[in-house]
Amino acid sequence: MMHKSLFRKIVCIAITVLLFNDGLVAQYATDYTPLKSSGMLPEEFLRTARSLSEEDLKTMGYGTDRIAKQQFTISSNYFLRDLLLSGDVLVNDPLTNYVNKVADELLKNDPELRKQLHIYVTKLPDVNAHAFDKGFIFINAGLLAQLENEAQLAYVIAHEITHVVKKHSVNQYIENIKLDRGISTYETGSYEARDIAKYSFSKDNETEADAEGLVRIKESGYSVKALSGAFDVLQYSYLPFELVEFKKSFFEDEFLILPDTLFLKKTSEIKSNDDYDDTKSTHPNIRKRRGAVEPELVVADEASRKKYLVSEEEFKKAREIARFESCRLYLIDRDYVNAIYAAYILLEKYPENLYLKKIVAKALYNIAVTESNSNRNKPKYSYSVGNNARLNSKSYSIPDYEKIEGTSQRLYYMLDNLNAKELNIIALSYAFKAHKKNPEDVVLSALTDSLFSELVNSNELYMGDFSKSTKAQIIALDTAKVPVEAIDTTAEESKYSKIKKQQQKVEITTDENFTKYAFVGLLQDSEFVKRYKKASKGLTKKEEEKKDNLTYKERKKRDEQLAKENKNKYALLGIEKVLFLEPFYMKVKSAGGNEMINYFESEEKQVKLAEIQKKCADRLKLGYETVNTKNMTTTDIDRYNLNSILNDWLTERFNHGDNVDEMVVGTDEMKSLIEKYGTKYLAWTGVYNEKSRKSHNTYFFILFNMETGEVMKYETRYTKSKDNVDLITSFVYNSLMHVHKSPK
Amino acid sequence: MKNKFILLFLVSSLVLVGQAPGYMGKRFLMGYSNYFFLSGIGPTAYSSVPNGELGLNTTHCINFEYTIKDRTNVCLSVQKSKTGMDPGDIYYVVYNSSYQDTYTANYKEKPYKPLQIDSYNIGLGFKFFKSGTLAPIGKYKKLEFLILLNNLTYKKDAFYIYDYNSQQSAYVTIGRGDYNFNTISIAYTMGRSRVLFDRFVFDGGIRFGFVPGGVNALLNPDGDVFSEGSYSARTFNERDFKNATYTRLFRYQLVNFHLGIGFLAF
Repeated sequence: MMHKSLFRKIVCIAITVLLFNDGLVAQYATDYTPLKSSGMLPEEFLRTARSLSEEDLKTMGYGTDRIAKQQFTISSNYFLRDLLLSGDVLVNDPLTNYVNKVADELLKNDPELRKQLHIYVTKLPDVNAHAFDKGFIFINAGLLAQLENEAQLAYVIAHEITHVVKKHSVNQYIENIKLDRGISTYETGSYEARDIAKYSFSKDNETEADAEGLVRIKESGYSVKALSGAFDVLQYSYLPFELVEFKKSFFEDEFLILPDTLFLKKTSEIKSNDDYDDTKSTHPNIRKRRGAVEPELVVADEASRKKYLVSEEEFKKAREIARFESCRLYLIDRDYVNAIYAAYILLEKYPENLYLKKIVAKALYNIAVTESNSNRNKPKYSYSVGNNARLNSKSYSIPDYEKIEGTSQRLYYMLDNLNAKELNIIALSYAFKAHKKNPEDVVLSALTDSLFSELVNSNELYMGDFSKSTKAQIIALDTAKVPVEAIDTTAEESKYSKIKKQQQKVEITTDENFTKYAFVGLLQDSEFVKRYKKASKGLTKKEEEKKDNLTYKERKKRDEQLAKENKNKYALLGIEKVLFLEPFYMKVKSAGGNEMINYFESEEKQVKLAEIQKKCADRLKLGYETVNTKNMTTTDIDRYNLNSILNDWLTERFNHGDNVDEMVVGTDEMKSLIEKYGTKYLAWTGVYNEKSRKSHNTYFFILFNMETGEVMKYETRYTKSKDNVDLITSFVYNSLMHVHKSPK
Repeated sequence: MKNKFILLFLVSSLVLVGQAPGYMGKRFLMGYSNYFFLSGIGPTAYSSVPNGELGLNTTHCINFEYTIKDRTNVCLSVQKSKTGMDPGDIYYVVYNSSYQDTYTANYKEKPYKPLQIDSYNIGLGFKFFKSGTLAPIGKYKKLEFLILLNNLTYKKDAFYIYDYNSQQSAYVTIGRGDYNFNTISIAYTMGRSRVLFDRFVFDGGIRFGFVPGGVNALLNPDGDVFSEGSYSARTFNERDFKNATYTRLFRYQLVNFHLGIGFLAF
């Protein structure tokens, strides 16, 4: 009887798992849509940092360290507000909803505390989570992608809740100030000792959060035993979310055969050290954390506890979504190889998923064009924003494969050993095949065209450079033309016969020039041929660029000339309408080597700068659109999402630096945005004001073409004066005048 | 000819306007400024004693500016200045057929009023705003050429001498009491201006100037107005006037502070 019941249970679970797995596969079999926020915007997203802080300051009272607490509250709320409106935070999406359900289960017995917590998932690829003392907890999508079960997620939340409840952030802030001043009771020794004490204090907080988090888990219905792998998640967080052997067949087809030499026979072992030196680390090392927690993973009622209180299905669905998201986030972070590998893992499961194919195609495209550019010896321009050099020359190179551990190393090794032409060919082959399967997808189609153009213009490979016959066919033909005489093994073989024989052998076995046969199949496709011809129309082989003959002075002169031409080219742009991103404004006070942000004034000046932009655009009759998040209401979820798309795009664009050829991932999302607003130009303005003995301003204005990622205008102005409204107005007007006026 | 040159210069400047933004597209500024300096080194027009009385020398100025480049304004101004002068001891020489007597004359108008120097100045110059800023906002340096159309007036019979022959004091007449003459000044200003309410320009600064004596003959083609005859009792005395006037004008232009308000017209 007992056996029968158990059997039924197993069968039921098996059916559920099968159904669930099939469900996921069915859901993502063909495509995936990136996460967006939905529903109503929570009230906390609509408040200014000043209003958040004023509320906190009222309830702060007159305890000890009041000034430090005030400083912390103001800065913390400023950064909280900044994060909430950064576009990285997801609202009412499947991940955030699921994480909140887990928090509900975790805090079932403490509804008061639950009410004080605001938990969100952030679109960030790092395996991390963090909390604000005000009750905000943010779980990165990258962490969700790596977790093994729901109980582990509950433990992460419980850990962060401890940080909130124990006010670890503010305590750390106060203690750091005391340690700097030498008045802390925690450590009174030398400067070095006090500096290390700051880390120790932080580590103590983390240890407490680990222990208290475990207590909270024990108070809930979650399995304690299920947490045993939680620290493995942290220890191996630098590895992809799955370890799958990378097969060379992924990029191959019947004719594009990659040489075996491009693939490591054996990948390096995973030698993660959990006992690293954590003296100057904010967290104790993994061995210490594991050592402190794992002996406590024992409870009497473990049998009645569960790994999944919400549901295993929802957990796996959330994790799968996080993994899909991670692919995109890696791309935004310019972590192209990781993006390909993550997509590869998921493509094993969803081989026809268009989203994943596009991830691979885009990543390959960007690797190929950056490799071509690095060979092109083109002049570099440097752009700096505020005090941070953010749009300067940023060359991309594939990370050193020797530093990569595990199965993904094969992919790193392969890509690192391909030259620009080979990368271009592989990227084109992949993109075109994906396009053929999804002919209606405009991104794949555009990528294909760009790769044809890159092939012809940068790598100078024309159709004639590729064979239309297979290697075997050519060899057969050659053999037929020049038959190799049968070798009489008994007769003495001449030296020259041996040479001929060896030469033939080499021709047959060598993998060199694999690209020659890469398009044998594709050249049978009329569309491929048509597009290739279109890309190479009117072009012939160019002379080799005499780049090495230029002296340093000549190259500098040429670069200056090009920069001048570029400047003149974009002096007046004649643009009718511009979409303005929320401006940047930061006021900083420097005293005694310390810089303090004037948070309230920064926020107010940011609003003022947005008004100035509008005023100047109106005066110039320049079409003005904005996605300003400062005056949103709870129903403005579309504007919130739009801001998120723009911020993603801008972040990625900045990551590319001056490499305009690299494709911005969000470009396809931007297309709908361009249609909606009727402009493809995105402007971003900002002021960084620093006051020490005198005031200094750095004003910047950047105008992007959202279609191409090209920087149309870049302007900075540095002045030693106060950031008066009239001064900033004159700068903004001047920038917009150049944008709007047409060249005569 | 002079006017034609100025007009030509202004027209050629406007051609450069091209893409100068001005402030919110407004490039033309009309304004009033007042230049002032304490009268410590000379009397004002209203001083009641020749020296040492604290007063304020002022110049009223109507100025017009036009932004011709991102950081450059061309400036035209009309100024009216008024100050007083005390010539100090003047030698009064009486020529007779056989001898000459030399007396010391003092200007003693009652109640005391110094010699009056009234000037209408026409200024043409350029304002160069500091790197990073855009005209008309921020710190600037201005180089200005001024043509000073001066008028010197005084009561010509208010000079007082003591005749040691007759042992009596007497008033004598010296000069015409009214002279017009021109001179130039070159001025350099360091200032700062701001725009408030998108229309009003507030301006302040300090001006340094000097009156180069050597070129004055060029500006007075009818000859030195102070020389009225080659052999006259007046000649010697009037040269003293001349020197005293130049010195006074030089000092007057030497250092000035100014405050102004303007209006961005278009």
